[in-house]
Amino acid sequence: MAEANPLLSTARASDSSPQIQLHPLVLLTISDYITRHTLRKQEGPVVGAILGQQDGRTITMEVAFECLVKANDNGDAVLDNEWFNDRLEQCTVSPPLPSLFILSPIFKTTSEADTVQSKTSTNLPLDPVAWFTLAPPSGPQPTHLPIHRYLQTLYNESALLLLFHPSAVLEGTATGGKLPLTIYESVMEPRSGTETSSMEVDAPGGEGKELRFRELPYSIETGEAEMIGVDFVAKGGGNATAVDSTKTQGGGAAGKTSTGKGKARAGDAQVNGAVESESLELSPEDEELLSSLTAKQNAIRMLHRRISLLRAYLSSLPPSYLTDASLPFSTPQDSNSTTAAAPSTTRSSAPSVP
Amino acid sequence: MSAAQKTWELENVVKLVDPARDALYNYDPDEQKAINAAKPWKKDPNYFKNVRISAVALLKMVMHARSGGSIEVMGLMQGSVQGDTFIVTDAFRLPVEGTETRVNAQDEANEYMVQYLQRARDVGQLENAVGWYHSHPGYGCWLSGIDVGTQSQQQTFSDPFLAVVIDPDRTISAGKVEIGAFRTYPQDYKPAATSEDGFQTIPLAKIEDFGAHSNRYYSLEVSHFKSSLDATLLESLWNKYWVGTLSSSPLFTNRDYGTNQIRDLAQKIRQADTSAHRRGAQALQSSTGKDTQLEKVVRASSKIAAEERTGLLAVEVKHKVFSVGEVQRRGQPAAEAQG
Repeated sequence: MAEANPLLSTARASDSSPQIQLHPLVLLTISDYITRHTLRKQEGPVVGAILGQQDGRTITMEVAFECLVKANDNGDAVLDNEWFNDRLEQCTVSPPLPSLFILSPIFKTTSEADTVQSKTSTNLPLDPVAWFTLAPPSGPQPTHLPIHRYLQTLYNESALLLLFHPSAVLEGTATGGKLPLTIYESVMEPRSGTETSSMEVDAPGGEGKELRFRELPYSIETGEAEMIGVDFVAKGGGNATAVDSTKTQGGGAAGKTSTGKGKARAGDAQVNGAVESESLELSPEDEELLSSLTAKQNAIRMLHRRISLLRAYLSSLPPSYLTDASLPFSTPQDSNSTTAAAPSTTRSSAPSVP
Repeated sequence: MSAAQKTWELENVVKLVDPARDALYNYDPDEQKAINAAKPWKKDPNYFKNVRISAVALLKMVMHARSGGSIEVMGLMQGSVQGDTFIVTDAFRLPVEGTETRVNAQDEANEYMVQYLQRARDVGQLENAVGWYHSHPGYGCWLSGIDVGTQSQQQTFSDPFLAVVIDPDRTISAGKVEIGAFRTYPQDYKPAATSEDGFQTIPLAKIEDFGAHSNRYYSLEVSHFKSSLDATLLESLWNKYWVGTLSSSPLFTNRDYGTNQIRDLAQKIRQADTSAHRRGAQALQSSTGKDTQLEKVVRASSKIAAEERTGLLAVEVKHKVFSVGEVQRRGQPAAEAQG
């Protein structure tokens, strides 16, 4: 972080910058890919595409998939063109009309009456809006440029870049409401003469300009079903079964720790009931109660933290000259240096509190 | 490679993954081949008992099911087999739409499926398809006659195979993921007689279809798993919802669901009561001391009780934290928050 990243734009995100709505599914897909990639000792970088919709200045990031990466003639990592095309088509293809199937009128009536809000379009037009990879928090690297240019040229000239920061997770800065990722838009900026010329070789768009990245704020957006799904996986499997088998409660709901984190257990040993027995002391109902209380506790803690922050801010303000005439009138300039930190942390630590 | 490793942050990533705790994310093709060759499920129709679904697969299925609205949608699940458990690691949709009675994976989806799996293999997702999922919008998780046909065909030709049903409508109204996993019995197999499964309500229009086939399949225990990285991310994600956690009450948001559950339970109790009367005294002598029907009623009622208790606790917590009217309680919120 010490020296400035030459690929980062110095300009702040302006009003004309797009607003990003990130869906948790994208986040989980990235996480899933990282875990799989690492455990299976796969070669090459972790790179994937993100699909979403662009509506005016709002861009959603809804679905993600990992990509096949190969080295081109220069040794740069690039996407496999054919593979990417195929997968993109697979993810955006529309289903054939339902008339292929035999409709059964008796059954049709009940379900139509039951469904109040039917969002019938199964397939929203999803476009590649961004791509993701891993990077340190300092920002994009020159190695990221070939893929970015590829997407810009062929698919979306305003493609965004999502950088996931593994080091931020390791340092623990990921907890406390800030996700370990940054989203960038790319802009063409006049080249400043002092930069090293090596990373601006074939900037498209021509003379005197080079590709720079500008950080964008984002918010987390969840659909109704997505929210329930995320809630479900976040809390653990207290109520995982819709239909109970007549057998005794087995491995299922027991596979999580009492902290409600529901870690994936090593599945090797659980051929029979041996594993379950140790964690079966709590019934699924108890687990659920426990996790809901933990959630409450965390929320209260958060509330407490916010209130303390506000208190700290208010008490650090200079005495008011409006209510007390004896104080001399002064511009609040001098107090800014001491208090500016407080509101800015409020903002940055909670980018999307409703 | 080491320079490249550094630029792509791969060295840090290794530390994020706990090989023991995240073992389900690994895949051993040789082991799977051996299991597929041994076919231990051939000997016992009830061989498979559990399903474990990864966070990402579950989320994909639920969202896909929901996106279909009142139309049935379907897709496939990728994963592996471990002992008596299906491990579902990922899911993808198939570009077909069905109505409730007919979901057909065979024809137009086949090519798509093969290509999709091939593309997945190219990026290291070596898992084969281990099952299919489809949605039952609004009428619960069970297999219809056609579903049973599809599933038993799959079990004949591409076993190990699993059927998963998701009800997106009930998921929304209940605020919980409604999901069921099933396997069919072979044609000639007669399962031990069970009384009507009392755990969910089937709409009257469907009850015939449900009843006609309900002894052709059995359900598996569904649970889910997530990686340690998932857990970290979800934790920071969930921090954003703390306002909702404090302000909303599950009793209020799920009241339709709660009422239905109680009504359902009342019916079940009545049923159990009448059947107990009918069996009368001779049942008392012959029975082995276990009344499964009653057992289910007890389980259902304790489930409802637990949900109600959670809801009441939410109200109580809210009251304790925010009721400024009672001055003497003011000290408590701070103490609670620190505790």
